[in-house]
Amino acid sequence: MFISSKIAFQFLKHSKLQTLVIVLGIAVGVSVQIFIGLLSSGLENTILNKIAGNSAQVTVYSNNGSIENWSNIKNKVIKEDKNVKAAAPVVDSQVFIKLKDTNQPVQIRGFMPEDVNSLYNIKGSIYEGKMYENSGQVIIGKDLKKKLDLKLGDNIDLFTMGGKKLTLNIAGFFDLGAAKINGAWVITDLSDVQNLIGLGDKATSIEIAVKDIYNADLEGKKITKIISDNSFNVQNWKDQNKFLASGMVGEKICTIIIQFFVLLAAVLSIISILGISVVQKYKQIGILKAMGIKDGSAAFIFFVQAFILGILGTALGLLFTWLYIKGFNRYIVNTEGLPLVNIVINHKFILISSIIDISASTFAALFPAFKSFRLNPVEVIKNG
Amino acid sequence: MDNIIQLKNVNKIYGRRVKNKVLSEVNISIEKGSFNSIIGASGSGKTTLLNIMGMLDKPTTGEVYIQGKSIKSMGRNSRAVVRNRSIGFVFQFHYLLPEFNTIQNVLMPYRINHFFCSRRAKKKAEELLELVGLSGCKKKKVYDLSGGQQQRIAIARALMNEPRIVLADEPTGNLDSTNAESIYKLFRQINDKFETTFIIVTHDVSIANKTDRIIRIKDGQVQD
Repeated sequence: MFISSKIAFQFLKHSKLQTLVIVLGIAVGVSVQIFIGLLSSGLENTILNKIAGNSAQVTVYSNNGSIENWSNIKNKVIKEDKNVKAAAPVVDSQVFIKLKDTNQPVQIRGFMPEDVNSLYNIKGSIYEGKMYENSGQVIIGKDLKKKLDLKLGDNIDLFTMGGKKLTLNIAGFFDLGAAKINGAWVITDLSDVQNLIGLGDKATSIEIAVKDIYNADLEGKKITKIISDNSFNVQNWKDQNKFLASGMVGEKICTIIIQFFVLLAAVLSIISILGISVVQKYKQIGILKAMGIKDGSAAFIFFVQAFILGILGTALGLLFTWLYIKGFNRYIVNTEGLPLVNIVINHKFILISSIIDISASTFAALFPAFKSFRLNPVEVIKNG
Repeated sequence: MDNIIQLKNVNKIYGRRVKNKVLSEVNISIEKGSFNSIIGASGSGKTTLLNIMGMLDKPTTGEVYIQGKSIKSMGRNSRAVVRNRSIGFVFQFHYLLPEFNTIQNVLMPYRINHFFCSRRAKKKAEELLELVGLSGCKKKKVYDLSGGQQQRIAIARALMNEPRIVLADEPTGNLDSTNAESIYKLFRQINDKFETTFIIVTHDVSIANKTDRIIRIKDGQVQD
């Protein structure tokens, strides 16, 4: 087999231009495949973070309006469903912020500070000030801040429909990427909202984050089973955003199909070029067989060639991908100069794609190798 | 003397629908260390006979014995091993591998069967290049050599594994008379020195007349 590798290497070295064309062909295929994959998952993350990420993935409501035994349900769900990342009691209410002559309606959301971070990664979204730590503090969205001209350390007065008042101190401002949320949400400590609306220790809902956001509907069903109580109603973001969810699933499938066909095109080009290469090397293979090279070794030459081409092509393809990402981040930008889609370099995806690409390239040698295996030296010698 | 090659009632038919009998009832024995030529008109079956002797082709019927062993039951791989170790081929067209330089071409039969290329093998290849008078062309590309030189390299390559048999198919067919003569002399020298059995297919009667035995073939039949 060592001689096969040596011959394969010499064959490639001898036809430099042909080798370069195949390597370029593989590189373009690999780079497009990996780039599309990364772009698609970047797009997914961007959309999920900006839209779906800001609505709870799975929410448990009570038909009675409030949940008394929320800590039992929370513990049960986390214990029995391994795909649940976090579960948190939430108290929601509609209130007004009173400022001089105007009343601004807002949604006050009460969370325990550590919960809001595990559900919405709020710490990463705070661009000014810090996260609230105690009761009496609040964080406010970017758009609401602008609208009401608020500053860090300001006190705001919140009124319920019934006229009950709560004064809170602004600890920070967040940007969750959606103007609707940034202009409506006021997030504070759970107990403050419970006191304000007179809910005691109850919660209005339990919000749950799951590991695979695309399976939120299945997880929702599983959680319904775990709770197994008809007085509770379990909803998920996919049902709440049906068009968006189906659009994203469709986009994901399209991406996989595109990746598959790009790779297939690259593999077909290797098959055809290596097929030509076998015909070109007919004489050499024939004479090697006359000299006693075994059929298996004669076939192996083409697998080694394809493997070398696969490695070179994939390496160059990765370089191309890097260039595309650089170019994309530099030229495909929004009005603020930020990249339109935040491409995340997923090393695992790149590694798996590279392994698949190299394997597919090597596999492409199957037909040429078979031709080489079957070649009868007499044909070559007879026909010159 | 022992027979190194023996053909018994060998027939070779090409084609499935239109049958073309190329060899008919060939019975022939080649003695160990002998220097033979096969002559005959174009299409008489000389090359087919040589290919069968060299295990490149199989007879349709009949038996072939190489070094006393029947090749009938041998698989493709076993035949490849015997070809590699016991038979050296020299063709009309040199069939050197253009991807490799001169010495690498000479070493090729050895490399096919060995994982590493030993120092001894390299020395042997250099000695063979010296024998064919081309010790100065070790690193040269094969297409930079003349036709005569290329044929000499092909001869050196055929001798690399010290085969007991050398089969040459029109080895001088592409060369001028001076080069043809020197190739013949080289074959003779090798035959004397290593007792290698030679079977040379040729059109050239003057070359054939110099061999110890002339095998004439006409319409697929041997007229010894």
